[in-house]
This record gives sequence, structure tokens and C-alpha cells, in this order.
Amino acid sequence: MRCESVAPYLTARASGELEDHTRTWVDSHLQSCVSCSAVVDRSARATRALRMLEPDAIEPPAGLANAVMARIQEQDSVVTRRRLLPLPLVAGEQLAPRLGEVGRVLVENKETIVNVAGTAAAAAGVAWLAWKALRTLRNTRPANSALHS
Amino acid sequence: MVEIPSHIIEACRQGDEQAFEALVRATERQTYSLVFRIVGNRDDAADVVQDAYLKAWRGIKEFRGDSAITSWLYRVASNAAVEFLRKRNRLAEPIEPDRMSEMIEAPEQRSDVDGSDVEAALARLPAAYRAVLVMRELYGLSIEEIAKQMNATNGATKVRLHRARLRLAHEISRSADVIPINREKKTS
Repeated sequence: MRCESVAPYLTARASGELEDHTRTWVDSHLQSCVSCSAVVDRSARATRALRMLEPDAIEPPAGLANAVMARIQEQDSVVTRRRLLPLPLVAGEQLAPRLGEVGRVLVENKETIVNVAGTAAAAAGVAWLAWKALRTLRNTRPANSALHS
Repeated sequence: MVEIPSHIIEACRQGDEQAFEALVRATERQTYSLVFRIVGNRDDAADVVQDAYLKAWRGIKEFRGDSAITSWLYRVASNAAVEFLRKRNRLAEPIEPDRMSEMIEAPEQRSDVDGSDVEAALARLPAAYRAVLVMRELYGLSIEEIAKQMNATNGATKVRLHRARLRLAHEISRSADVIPINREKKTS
């Protein structure tokens, strides 16, 4: 049996992961192959050393649990508000800042707005008076023509 | 292994934040160690751990108690860590020589390799190898679970694990090579 055939199984053999029939097949090669046996030994030692590491050996940064809980509370408050507020209120809540923006633009330009509104009102008044005068004239003309005929 | 009382787990499932905080405080060291060993960086690990606990909080109602709560948390945390690596394109299979096993036919490995040597050797591995080794050897995830998390087949995961073990043995041999010199310097 060639080394290339068993090579893919050597580390699994070292970690005890092979099924019985595959392990028997690999072991039959290992009995006569020094270099493949060395690979198994070294891999077994490395895996053993790795498994000896403590699962909680590394100190987390201070305040990690607090940071986790702060993120959870932040998420929960957003979810709760969305659940409690009916849709129009949610829409209103989102629109409010934009309405505030509209108000700010109005205040900043109030003089221009007052001037434009005054001019528009005066123009509307003049137009209304002209329209009234025209109507009066149109109503009086047929009566005059009837008198002349 | 951290033992979490069943009433704490049940309270977490009912949405009790205080109970969940107790769970976080009891497991943060293990979760952080797992994530740090996979992502290999303290700042990234802290961010990934926060994401993992947030996912755990959202998903804990689905926890049915088929396994220990810590095993479930390991799966959530390792999944978050692998996702982090994937988004940064750090899960690509490294290019290896045809006969990798020759890599560890190196100098005789010392028998007194300690934990810090192994941590250092682990840190030198490509992220794709570190992830599978840590999940399999340190936190006991099955090949199937690892394959699922890595979006790979069982066969591809076994191949990756094999290569990762060879590389780890090689890196530990390298540690063993340099350690005696450093230790002599310290003692002199």
C-alpha cells in the first residue's frame, strides 16, 4: 500500500475519528511505514495539546457583559415602541422631524413670506374689484340697449 | 463547563433580561475565548461576541433544551465568528503543497509544549484552519455542524480539518524549535 493512499486519513487516525474498517486498513500500513507513523504521532501530540487548552482561558475586555446588555436593551426599546405605536403614530413620529424642518424654514424666511403674502392678497383684492366692476357693467348693458330700441 | 440553572434558562426563554444578563456573565469568558480563537483579534472578538449574544437573545425562545445551553451558545457564537470571517473574505482555502504531511517531518517536537505555545501556534494558522480546529477540537462541534456553518460538504470539511491539523503540528514544531533559545535567554 502506498503512502499517498493513507495520507488523507493520518490526522483523523491520530484524533481517533476513523471508523473501524478504515482504521484497520490505515494501521496495517502504519506497521510498516516509519514516516507515516511519525506523522500520526506528531499530529496526535498537537491535537492533545490543543485539547488541553482551557475553553475559558482568555480574559474578555472589561465591561463586555454591560455592552452586550446595553445593545439588547437598545434593541428591545426599538422593538417595543414599534409594537406599541399604531402605524399612523409611527408615521407621525417619522414625519415630526421633517415638519420641524419645514417650521424652521418658515421662521427664517418670515419677512419674505409676509411680503409675498401681502402682495398676493393686494393683487387678489384688485382682481376681485375688477371682476365685480365688469359684472356690474355687463348686467347694466342689455337694459340700456333695450331702452334705445 | 459552566452549569446554568434550569430556572435561569426558562426565565431567559420567557424574555427576562435579568436572567439573560446572568447567563451572559456566567458564559462570557468561554464565549469570548471561543470567538477570539476563531477571529484572532481582540477588538473584532468583542464585536462578534456582542452580535452573538444579541442573536442568542432573539433566538433563545427556540432553544428546546436538546443540548446544554452552553453548547447551544457555542454554536451561535462560532456561527457569528465564521460569518464575520466570511464577510471579510478570510475563509478561503489556503494553497498548500501537494504533500503536506512532509511539513511536519521536521525537528523532533518537545514534549513540554505549554498552552501559550499552542495558542501562539493556533494564532499563526490561516483563519479557515483555525476556525475548523477550534470548533472541532476545543468546543466539540460535529463535522456536520462545522460543515453547515462553513457552507461546505462533510467531505470538504474533513479535508480542511486534516490540513489544519497538519499545519498545527507544523506550527507547534516551529514553536518548539525557537522556545528553548528564548527560555535560555530568560534564565541566563
